[in-house]
Amino acid sequence: MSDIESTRSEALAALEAVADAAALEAWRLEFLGKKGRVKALMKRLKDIPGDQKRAFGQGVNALEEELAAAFEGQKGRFGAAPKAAKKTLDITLPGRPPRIGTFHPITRIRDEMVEVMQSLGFEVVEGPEVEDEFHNFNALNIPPNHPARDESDNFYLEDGHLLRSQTSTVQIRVMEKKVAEAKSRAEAASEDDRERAGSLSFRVIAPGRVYRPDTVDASHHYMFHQIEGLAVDRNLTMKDLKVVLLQFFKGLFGTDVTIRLRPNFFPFTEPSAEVDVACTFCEGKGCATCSQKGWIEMGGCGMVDPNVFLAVGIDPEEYTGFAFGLGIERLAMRRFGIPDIRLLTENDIRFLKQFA
Amino acid sequence: MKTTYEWIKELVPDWEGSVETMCERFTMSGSEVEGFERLGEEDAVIELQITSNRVDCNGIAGLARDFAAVVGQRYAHPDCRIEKGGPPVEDACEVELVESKGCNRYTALVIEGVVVGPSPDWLVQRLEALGLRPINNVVDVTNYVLFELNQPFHAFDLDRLAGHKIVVRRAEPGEKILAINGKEYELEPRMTVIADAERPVAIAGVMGGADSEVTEKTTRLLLETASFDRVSTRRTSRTLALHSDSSYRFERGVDDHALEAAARRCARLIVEVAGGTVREGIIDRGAPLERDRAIAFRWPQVRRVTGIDVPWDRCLEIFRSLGCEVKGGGDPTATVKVIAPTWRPDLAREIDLVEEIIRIHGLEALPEETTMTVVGVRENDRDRIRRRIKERLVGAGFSETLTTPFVDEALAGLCLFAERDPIVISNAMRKDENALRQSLLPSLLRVRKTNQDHGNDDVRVFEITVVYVVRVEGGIPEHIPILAGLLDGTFAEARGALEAVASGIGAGALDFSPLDAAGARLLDEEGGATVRLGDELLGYLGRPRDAVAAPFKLENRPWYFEIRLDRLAPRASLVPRFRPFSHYPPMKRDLAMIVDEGVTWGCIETLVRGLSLPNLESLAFFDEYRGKQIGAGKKSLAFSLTYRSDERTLTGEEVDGWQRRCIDTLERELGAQIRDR
Repeated sequence: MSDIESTRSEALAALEAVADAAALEAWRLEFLGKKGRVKALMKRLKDIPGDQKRAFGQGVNALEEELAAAFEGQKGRFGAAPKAAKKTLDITLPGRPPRIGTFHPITRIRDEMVEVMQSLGFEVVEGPEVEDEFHNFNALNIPPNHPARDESDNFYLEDGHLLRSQTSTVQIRVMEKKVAEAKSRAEAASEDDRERAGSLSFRVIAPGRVYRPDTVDASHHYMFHQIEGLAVDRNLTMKDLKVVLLQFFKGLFGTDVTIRLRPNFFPFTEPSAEVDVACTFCEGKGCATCSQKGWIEMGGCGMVDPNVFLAVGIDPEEYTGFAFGLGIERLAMRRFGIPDIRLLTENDIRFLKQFA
Repeated sequence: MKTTYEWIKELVPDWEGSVETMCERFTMSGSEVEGFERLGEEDAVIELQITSNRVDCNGIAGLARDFAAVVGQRYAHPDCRIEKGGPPVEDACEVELVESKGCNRYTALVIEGVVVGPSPDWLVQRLEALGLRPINNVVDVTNYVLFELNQPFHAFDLDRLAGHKIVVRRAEPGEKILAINGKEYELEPRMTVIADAERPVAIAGVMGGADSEVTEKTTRLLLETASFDRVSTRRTSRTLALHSDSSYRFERGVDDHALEAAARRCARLIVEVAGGTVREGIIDRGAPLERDRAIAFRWPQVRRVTGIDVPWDRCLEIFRSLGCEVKGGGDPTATVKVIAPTWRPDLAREIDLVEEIIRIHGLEALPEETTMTVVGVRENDRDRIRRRIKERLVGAGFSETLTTPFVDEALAGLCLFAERDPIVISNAMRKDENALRQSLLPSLLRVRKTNQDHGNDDVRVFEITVVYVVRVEGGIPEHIPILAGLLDGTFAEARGALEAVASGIGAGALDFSPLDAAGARLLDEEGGATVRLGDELLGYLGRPRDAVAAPFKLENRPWYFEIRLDRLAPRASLVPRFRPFSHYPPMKRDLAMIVDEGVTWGCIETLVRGLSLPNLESLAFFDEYRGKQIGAGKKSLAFSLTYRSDERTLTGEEVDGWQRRCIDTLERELGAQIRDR
């Protein structure tokens, strides 16, 4: 009981001595605050013997009331009491980002390529992934018994079809369609206009998945993406092909890119070439990125082989065309620094989320 | 294909240049150099990639000839002359060509008096540079000339051939041969063999037999120089799983016009390193396969195809350097006849010659200039729709996956849209990836499992791709474009994502109704929904049935949706049209109705909308509540109604009247009770 009394006299004396608003607030905190001395007294209630508990509790309550009243009485003395520290916005707390997903890195590169090619007048087309031998081989000037038809290089289906091993199949699909369209245009046209209406002039690109039974490792997969380009017109030359490729790579990598064409062989183009881009890391001197070659292989290209034109009913004496096919995976891996091709199809969200 | 720097220089004797320069010129003329390795001070081993059309470059002489053309220098063919002398070859042996399909030409020389022993250093060094192990001087020479001239040989010990006889025939059933690699092979009747009077002594084009091979005791040789059929050599070599430098070359083709010269070259070197004399003459059975090597060539085609002018004289020079013969080369405006050399089967058409000209002239000569007109095109509607859908989903927290279409045959039958047989891959690499998917459900469940295994929570993924469904017997399967998504979350989030997709392409409101039978094959009826747009079935939303999800061992069952884009896309309306809106204030009223558990929000919505209340601008659900105050078997559905007129400010009284009608109807039709707060 004496504790209550001593606290009371001490508190009242201290209140007398208060000289300003800050001291008054300090007094309030000391005696009436949540961790103040009155509350501390109340906590001792549990240690008080049973028969005294009631009286002690009442005593503390009375003290609290008395002190509170005394405080209220003093409050007006120093004008408005300083406010308790204002609730402030903690701007160092992390933001709450909207929940946003990501595009697959292959989509990102594919879309970039498409955008550049559309600006050069190439329309996006698609073809089936399950193909017949005519479109995957015969029409592409790959004769029967050619090793490219081997089971080790193609996924064959039990019904005799196969999964396309290259997007070049779309060349054939597109040309067949364009020839048919030109024919019906010519039939609909007046006699004077027939030749013009029936003529061919088109540029397309066909991005898509292709399949080859490669053993899967860090740099090989049985499914990958290519982008195929094809232009057919009356006066296209290999010069035009080179310029289109140059513009394409400038669009992808920047205007200071240089390319070279290097002879190669593909059954469906002639002349055929490989297109290389000068390694941007070593500027052609040779480094790990370009396997010491100074150049990075991007894909194959060439002038449409006359046999391919003949297979779809286009007169190679009247038209020329060029085509190219580029791999998308390698480009995506190099651009984003992805070390293993398997990451692209594993679909771990920690991987996917990185390509925002 | 490997060569050495010095070897090429020997055949292009006037050329001077470094290893690096040689590599660069090879690469830029179509035989890409993979790399080179120094060999002492002067020499280097160069590894090249030979394109499949250039069979001649599978020989070092062929490479050198091409190199000479590229650098514009003289090519010196290896010396093929032999000393005349010795008795006629016909007296020493007999050759019979029976199987002319498998072997169109077979020649034999006989060399007598050889001393078999180790090869001289120069020969050993060259073979070792190519990665070959020296055996003895005779065998080493045959290997050497094989690499030099792209012509395989086989030297038999003439005295170990029964009857001193060679018969080129098909294998007989059950015949076996012990090959020089020490392994025994069982031959099949469609294989071509070289036999003596009694037994097979070599597998044609692939490998010789052990019991007629050249040994240290051998003094008389029969040197086989032949041309075996490409396809049958490949078949034999594959069937026996036996590949050799010979089979590699026969599979690609040799110059069957040059057999005799090659035989003489080989004999010359044998005599040089092993002594002996070559018998007079050569036994020559069969004939080279004749083809029309004359090509009509029009000079202007060079410009038409490449876009540049290569001077006529330069064209002639290129042709000659490649071994082509030009008939009537005086007039570039006329069509001239160019005769391709026998070693270049790839030259058959005018375009082949155009390619040779630009290849040797150099693709570097193509200027980077064009006369093409460039008019950009805009993104097509299909791509635009897909991009907008992806953008909507990405904005809703979904990440795009890339999954392969290969699934286990057992899962390939899973198809939400049709019950069809799976499409099976005949040469699958893995048993659990042997069929093409007809739904993305197994693919995305696998993605979920991968992430579960990697400890990743909160997976939200989607993919747009095709599934394959057999349509017409014998035709190409139908490729159905699909949007599929999977998420850890709620039905409402999944449905909301699909609604966002539809609104993102202006396709109108989706309708969700209980699962139909097709959807219920794969998805749980509880919470499963058939998704429609108007009358069109678009797809399904739900959680996979236990039986479907079981193989993936998932800890939680995610929500899944699959939508046919071929049906959604035609409903897209990509250009939004402005709709005028009211300038008068809205009147908003909230309502909570207690209904039986079986009453859906859809019932309430239909009834309220059915009233066609005037000026009802929107009707929106916002809460569902179950609890003690409401009672068992009941729930409260809270929603808000917004009224607004285009013409005036509405009064409280009239809105109260419409609200009354609404409440009365729900009370009457559904036994609903208004909930007092």
